[in-house]
Amino acid sequence: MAAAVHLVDIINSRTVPAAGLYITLTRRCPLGCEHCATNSLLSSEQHSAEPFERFVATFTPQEHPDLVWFTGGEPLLRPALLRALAGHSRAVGAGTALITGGYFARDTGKVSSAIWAALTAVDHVAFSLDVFHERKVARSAVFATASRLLEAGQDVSFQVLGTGPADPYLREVTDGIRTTFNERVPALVVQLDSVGRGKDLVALRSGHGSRGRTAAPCTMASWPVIGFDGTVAACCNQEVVDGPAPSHLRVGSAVTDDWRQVATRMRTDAVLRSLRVVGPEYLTVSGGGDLVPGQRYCGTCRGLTADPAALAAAARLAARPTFAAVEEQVVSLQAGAGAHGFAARHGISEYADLVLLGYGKERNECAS
Amino acid sequence: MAFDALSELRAGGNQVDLLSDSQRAALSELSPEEVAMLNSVKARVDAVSGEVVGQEVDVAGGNVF
Repeated sequence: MAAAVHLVDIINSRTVPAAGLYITLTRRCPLGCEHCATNSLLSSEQHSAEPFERFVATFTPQEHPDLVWFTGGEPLLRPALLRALAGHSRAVGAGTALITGGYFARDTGKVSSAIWAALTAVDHVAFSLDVFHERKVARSAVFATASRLLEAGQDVSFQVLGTGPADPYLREVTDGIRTTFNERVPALVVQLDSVGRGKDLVALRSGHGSRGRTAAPCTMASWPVIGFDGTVAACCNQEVVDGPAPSHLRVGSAVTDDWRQVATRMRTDAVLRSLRVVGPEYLTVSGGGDLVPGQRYCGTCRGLTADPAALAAAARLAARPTFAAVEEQVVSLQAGAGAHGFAARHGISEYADLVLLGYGKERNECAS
Repeated sequence: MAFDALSELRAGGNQVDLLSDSQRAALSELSPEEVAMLNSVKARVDAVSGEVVGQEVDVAGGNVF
């Protein structure tokens, strides 16, 4: 029986170091969406299952992520592997989730037994939904699968992508989600960004941040990511996951390390701790360096490997006896903003309240 | 005048009076730079849009996560 894992539960732990773990099972995907952030094709890279199996086997009831999130490419291209990894995760007490574009329902709308077994092996299934996915998989097929999962006792959500708050598609699709699922299935609404094939569709958004003058914590360097080849990175930035990861963001390998080692590095590494409190731009300026014009937040972080002064600033910061108190407060402030606050900051704020749909409701009330 | 970290945090909107005695004691030792860090984080958390926060993150898989 799947454990209750609402989207709010997932978001609320997103900024807690090593509370979760991403596993990118494959870069492959059969859909070929124009906006794909991972630049996935059916011919894209896919590596041996062994590192993933080995790493998940190191989970114990005492040492495991609170949540394991399976992603890709399309993770359901490896349903047997996903089912096995999810099964062991669940056995040790970890929650599990996956995100899918729903390729399996594109032709007939029906779900094979192998795919269904994988879908029901996790606690939470998130469906990607946007104009690009809908050109490949009918919304009705995705909604039908989601309804069936809800009837089976799974938690479900949608990750909806649009061009901005004025995008008419967002109003239309979120109205459809709310109506079809009776206001009980949440959606995280985010903005299309210039990543992967998205670079051909939308220009880079310019930054209006502090540019190093004040602290700007990284909220993404909390959950490690096992990349396509088993490399474990400290964050989900696409270029980091694509590899090679900058040395300060590489926390290990699924081939050689275990979860306890990865989690310990995530929690104790001075540079990661400093990034989560002040961010890369602050560290660059603190080290006496200059920010590169036009270089965005993540680009600045990736460049820290070549900036020993910034890395030294991070080490000095984390070595302060008061730093733990500062860290604790940062985590508390972020948690205090809740899932709605996270969605407003990292998604399209006008739709942030949709992450709360269905939270606290009984699952059987959600089925349409 | 000695630097009063708790007062500065309070002025920045941090609800220090709701913390435990041990947490307040730890925060009372913060330097002006550290207080500025927390006040900045508080302001950013309270902001409601990515435009205001100005922190674009290029995440894998198109996932905000």
